[in-house]
Order: sequence, then C-alpha cells, then structure tokens
Amino acid sequence: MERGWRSTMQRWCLGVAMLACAAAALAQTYPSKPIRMIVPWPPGGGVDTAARLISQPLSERLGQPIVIENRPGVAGNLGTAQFTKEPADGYTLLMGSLSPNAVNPHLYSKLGFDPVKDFEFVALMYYVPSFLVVPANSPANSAKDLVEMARKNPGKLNFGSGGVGSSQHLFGVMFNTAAKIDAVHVTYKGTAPAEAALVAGQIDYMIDPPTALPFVTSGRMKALAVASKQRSVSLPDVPTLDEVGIPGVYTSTFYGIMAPAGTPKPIVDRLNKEINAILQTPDMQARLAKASAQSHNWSPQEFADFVKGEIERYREIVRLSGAKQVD
Amino acid sequence: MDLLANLALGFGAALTPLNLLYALLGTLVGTLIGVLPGIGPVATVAMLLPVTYGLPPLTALIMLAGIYYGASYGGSTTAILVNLPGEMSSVITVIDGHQMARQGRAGVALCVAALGSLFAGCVATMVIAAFAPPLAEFALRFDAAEYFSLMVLGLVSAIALAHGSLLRAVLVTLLGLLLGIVGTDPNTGIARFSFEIPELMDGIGFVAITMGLFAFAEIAINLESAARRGAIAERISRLWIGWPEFRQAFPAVLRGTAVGSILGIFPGGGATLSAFASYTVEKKVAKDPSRFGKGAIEGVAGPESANNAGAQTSFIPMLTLGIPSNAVMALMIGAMIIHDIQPGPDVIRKQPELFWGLIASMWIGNVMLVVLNLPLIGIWVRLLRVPYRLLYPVIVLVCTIGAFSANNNMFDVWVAMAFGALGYVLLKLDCEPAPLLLGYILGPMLEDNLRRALVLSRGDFTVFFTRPVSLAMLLAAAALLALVLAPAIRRRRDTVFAERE
Repeated sequence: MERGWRSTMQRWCLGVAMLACAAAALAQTYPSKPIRMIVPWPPGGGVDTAARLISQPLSERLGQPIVIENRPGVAGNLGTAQFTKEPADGYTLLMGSLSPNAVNPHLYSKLGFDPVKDFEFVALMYYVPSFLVVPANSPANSAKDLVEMARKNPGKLNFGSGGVGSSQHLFGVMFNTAAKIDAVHVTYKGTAPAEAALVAGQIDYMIDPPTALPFVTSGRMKALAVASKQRSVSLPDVPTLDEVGIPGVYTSTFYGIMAPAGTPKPIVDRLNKEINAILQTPDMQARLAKASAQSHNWSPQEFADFVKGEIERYREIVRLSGAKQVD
Repeated sequence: MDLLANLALGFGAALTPLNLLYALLGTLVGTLIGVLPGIGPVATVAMLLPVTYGLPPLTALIMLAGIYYGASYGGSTTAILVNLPGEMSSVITVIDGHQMARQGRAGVALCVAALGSLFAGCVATMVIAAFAPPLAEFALRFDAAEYFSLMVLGLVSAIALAHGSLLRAVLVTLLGLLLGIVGTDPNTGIARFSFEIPELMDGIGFVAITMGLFAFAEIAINLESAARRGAIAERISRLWIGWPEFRQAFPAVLRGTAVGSILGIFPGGGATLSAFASYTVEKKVAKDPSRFGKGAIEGVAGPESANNAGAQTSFIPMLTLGIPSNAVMALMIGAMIIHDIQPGPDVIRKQPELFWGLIASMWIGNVMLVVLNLPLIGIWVRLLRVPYRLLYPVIVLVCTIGAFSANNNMFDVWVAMAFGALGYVLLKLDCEPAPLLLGYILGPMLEDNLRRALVLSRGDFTVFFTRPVSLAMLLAAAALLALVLAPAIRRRRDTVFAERE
C-alpha cells in the first residue's frame, strides 16, 4: 500500500515538473503534435473554405499537420461551444466567423459560450463585403431607383435571405433602416436557393455576399451598390452605398482564427505572425482579390477590438430585425 | 448535326488518359463512400476540393462529378444487401431490393440497378446535351407555390408506397411529417419541439433516422426470430439478369428515366422526389400491385433509373445558369470559380470543351460504374451468406460510426438508437418505415414553400389555384388520391352489402 502510494506521489511530482518545463519550453517547441481546427459548419461553406485555404500553408510553416474537424449545428453555436471547452494549449483552433461570434450572442439566450471572455483572438483571415443586387430585368438601375420604387410602394417589395438571423437578413434590415424603406423579408433555406429566387425575379433585392458575383458577371443580376466603406476590387464601377446617399451600411462578413481563452501569448503571437505572413504572399493576395476578400495584417489585439466592435454593432441590428431571442 | 459535332468535341476532350483516370478515380471513391453510410458525397467533395486545385479544370470537374453519381450508385448497393439506404435517393430501393436479396435474388437486383442506372444516365446525358438551356429557364419559373403543389403530389404518392393497410400508411406518413416539424421555424427562427436540446434545433438528422428505422430495427427483428437469424440468403439463384426479368424491368427503366429526367431539373428536392415518384408510377401501372414490397423487380428498376437520371439532369441549372440544385453542385461551382471559370450561360459559349467534355464524361462515368460494379456483384452477394451473427455486429458498428460522423456528434448516435426502437415497434405493428421517411423529407419542404408562397402573396391562398402549373399538380394529386381511395371505398361498400344480404 505504502509503496503504491509513494509511487503515485512520485509520478504526480514528475507530472507537475514536466508541466512546468513544458510551459517554459512552449514557445520554442510549439507545435510538437498535430493541430485540430474546428469548423462549426458543414463542409463546403464559406467558413469551411477559409479553413481549408489556410490549413495547408499554415501546416507547412508550423511543420505539423492541421486536421480540420467539421462540427456543424445551430448556426455554428454547437461546435463553437464545444470548442471553448477544449484545453487552451494551442492545439485546438477555431475558424471563427460573423454569425456564431458576433450575431448569435444576440439571437440565442442559451449560447453555451461567452463571445468575448471565452476566446483568444488570434488573427483575422479576411472579410468580404456584400452587394445590393437585383434581378437582371428589375426596373431599378441604381440604388436610388430601388429606394424610390420601395417608397412609392411601401410593403410591396420583397427582399430575400438565407434564413432568419442570417447575415443577408440582418444586412437587409441595415439597408432598409438606412434607406428608410419598408419591405417584406422572405426566407430561403440557405444562400443558394435565395440567389436562385432572385435570378428568377421572385424577390426584388438582396444584400448578398460575393457568392452573387458570378451572377452579376453573367448578366443574371445587377449589382447596384456595395455595402462597405470602399469600393470592391472585383466590381470597381459599382458605387458604395455611402456614395449614393444611404450612409452607414457596412457589411463585413469576417473569418478569423481563434483559440480557447488562456492560450499562452507566445503561441497566439506565433500563429498570428505565420497567418499574416501567409496572407501577404502574392498567390494568396491574388486569390483573395478574386473573392473580393480583404485581409489586414492585424495584431491579435486589433482583431479582438474588431470582433468586440462587431458584437456591439449587431446588438441593435438584431433588435431592429425583429428576430426573436431563442433558447 | 450541331449536337453531334458538340458531342464529338466533348468526347475528344474527355477521352484523354488523364481524364479517364480521374473519372475512374472519382467513380471508385464515390462508390466507396456510397456504400459506407454517413459519409455523403458533400463531405467527400469538400475534402477533395483542395486536391483538385492543381488539376486542369475539366479533369477536376470530371472527378468531382464521378464522386457524385458514384455515391448515388453505391448507396443502392447497401440498400439491397443489408436494408440500409446509403443516400436519400436509395430509400425506395430498400423496399423491394432487400426483399429480392432475401429471396436469393440479390445479384439480379444489383444487376438491374446497375444496368437501369446506366441506361438512365445515358438518356439523361442526351437530355442535357440537347435541351439544357430551355429546361433551365423552365425550372426557374417554379416559384414557391409550384414547389408546394409538387410536394403535395409527392406526399399523396407516399400512400401508394405502402403495401397493405392504407390507414397505417397515412398514419405513418403523418408521424413523419410531425418529426419533420422539429427544429427552427423557417419564418420566425423560433425553436420548435427542441426541448431545450441544442442539437434538436436543426431538426432530427436524416442519417440518424435512416440508421435507426432501417438498420437497427431490421436487426432487432431478425435476431428475434430463429428463422431469420441464419444468413440473409442461404441459396443464391443467379447473379445475372435473365430474359423474363429483363422484359419485366425494361419498361420500368424507361418510365423511371422519364420521371427522373424531368424532376431532376428542379433545384431543391427534385432528384430526391424522382425515386418516390417512379415507385408510385410503377405500382400504379402494374397489373398486380400486391407484388410490390415483396421483391418486385420493377420496384428496383424504376426508382434506380429515376434517381440516376435525376442526379444527372440536376446538373442542368448549374451548368446553364450557375444555380446549384444541391450542395454538391454548389461545391462544383466553387471548384469552377477557383479555376477562374464563371459558371453560367457563358460557359457553353466561352469554354465549349469544358461544357461538352463534362457531359461526355458523364457518359463515360456511367459506363465505368457498370464496369466497376458488375464484377463486384459476385463478391457482394457472397456477403449475404455470411452467418448473421457475424454480419450484424459489423452493420451496427458501421452504422454507429456513420451516425456519429454525420455531424461528429454523439447525439446523433443516441437519436439513431431511439429510432431503432421506434422502427422495431412500427415493424411489430406491420407499419412500413418508408412512408415515414418520405413524410419526414417532404414535410419541411412542404411547410417551407407553403409559408414562403403565402409571404410572397401576402397571405392570399388563391395563388395555388391561379398559377397554372401549380393548379395542374394539385389536380393530379387529387386524381391520384381518388384513384387510391376508390378501391378502398368500393371494398367497404362491398362488405357493407355483403353484410346486408
């Protein structure tokens, strides 16, 4: 018995010593084993694409494989909540994004995580603007035309979205509020069916992310304005909403790497440095430009401030949208 | 003659050694994931997408397309052999396909599924080649009201799925509809029947339900009776299809191909509906509908042809308009954009080799599927002679992994087990699980489109009757309902008269 107890004690001390050493050597030795990257969405969407875009070059730079794990459910909440309970050792990362990290805190009363306290904000990948799009045969040829149409027929126009509380829904509310128009929200199951309905002219307009761009270039939709501070590199002729007198509608759907709260700072800094270096490569820059995506070379602090600002901003927008708080 | 010249161009582009290799690779991977439950083509295509960055665009698309129809074929294999639909489209194949396997005719069923799919694939490819642009424009005219009426038609045909009691079929379908209501309300975002369980807010997973209702319930029933505890089929008659069977199956293949080619062009559920619709058609035209559910070869030939034709024609909206009709198509569009190809009407004009090459490769892919799978039939069928005490733990294991890997979540495994229990009760009560699944699949689509149509019409119910296509489908549903109910009513009248005498 005595002997057994002593050996347990010894092992325990050894364990503590090893942990201490590990912490000291962390910055030099990280990473020493494969890293998991949680994507709280099914394969194939925007968040998954961002994860798969960065995982390959990042694993080359870190010298360890990065395994992507899709844990979809409840607009990203399930996977994100599970992620925050993972050990904060830098071996579990999250591809964070607008919905779970900034919008859902205002939509769901039982989120399962704190959008600020449970995260270390590692690095922004990029954000994409959204566009005000209408069907090709729409009588509106400018944002001004559309607003006039809507004001003449209050409550007659329809705007589409990929679901209640989706980014298109909230962006639409932002636009309607800024333009002071009254239109009806029509939900679809995801972005693609909503875009198909717009192409077919079943709905009148939508504030849509760059997934709509192929339809614009093929002449199936008209892009009337871009909802961001600067014009988009993909469609430089399309004015911003600010320029046409509908101010303050800035939509930046962001994608960024996050770690569980308490992840050692040296690891966060190392990851931030590597990710930003990857994003600055010409090959990556060309890819981002093609998708209208913008990267910023932000520090972890700058990224954290950005996300916190978005969380605050969406509090009011969600309230205006009328989307209910759910458990 | 334009068509022939275009097809020649396509075959020229697709028949390079590299493209053939990747077509083979795609169909092989697709068949594999189709056989394994839980891993669907969507996840596979998403994971393989980065691999295709380095390939020429046509080669990449050929491989991804191969995965897609390979998966739908592989799904039927497990449906026939072990009563487990690998994909949504093979739910119907289970009904008669697995019965055929029990009678020792698994080889024939697999063979008919393969050849029917090949034929349907070839015809559907021709349809794409000849009529893609006008068909896509037609599909665009389908608004929420038309989709609602289409779903009503589909639901009414669910009743025809049942063999035996009509009342039971209706009740089971209603149960399926109720299960489909679980989850987030499409218009308000409020959670319904989720009992504060976050996993239920997205509704009950399809994979978990099918694993439970079909695989687990079937195993429980089999273990119960000593007679069914042996191998699934002790004696196996023939592997190859015979002439009388061919004559029986061929008209069904023709009808299934027609149904699938038409329904496949509608984004969102068209291809899934096609197998259900085809089964209904087969049962209606059969001289002796009572054979269905007991191993009728038409019940395999029709739906299998229909789902493959539907899978093929669902490329139409994607190729001509850039509109994805399902998640796999959305990923293919992503793949095209990565290669700097803007999907849409310009593809045919600006990159004819790509467009026609992909079409030609569908043809090649279908032939490859058959070449790949016909020799495998012998091996698959031998699987049925494995003693059940060895086979069922493997099925349970594979299904559990499948249920888990759908969302990487243990919750789905518990759901699958609960549905295993429900399925067992249903089988004990002589209720068919297939109509339940149809209700569960169609219910949310029905609700979604009904409410969207009403939002668009500002609450005016007459939209369903004033739009001609919608009205036509509702009338067809009414006619079908009358057709199904008439014999039942007549029979009751007969018994009433009999009692009076």
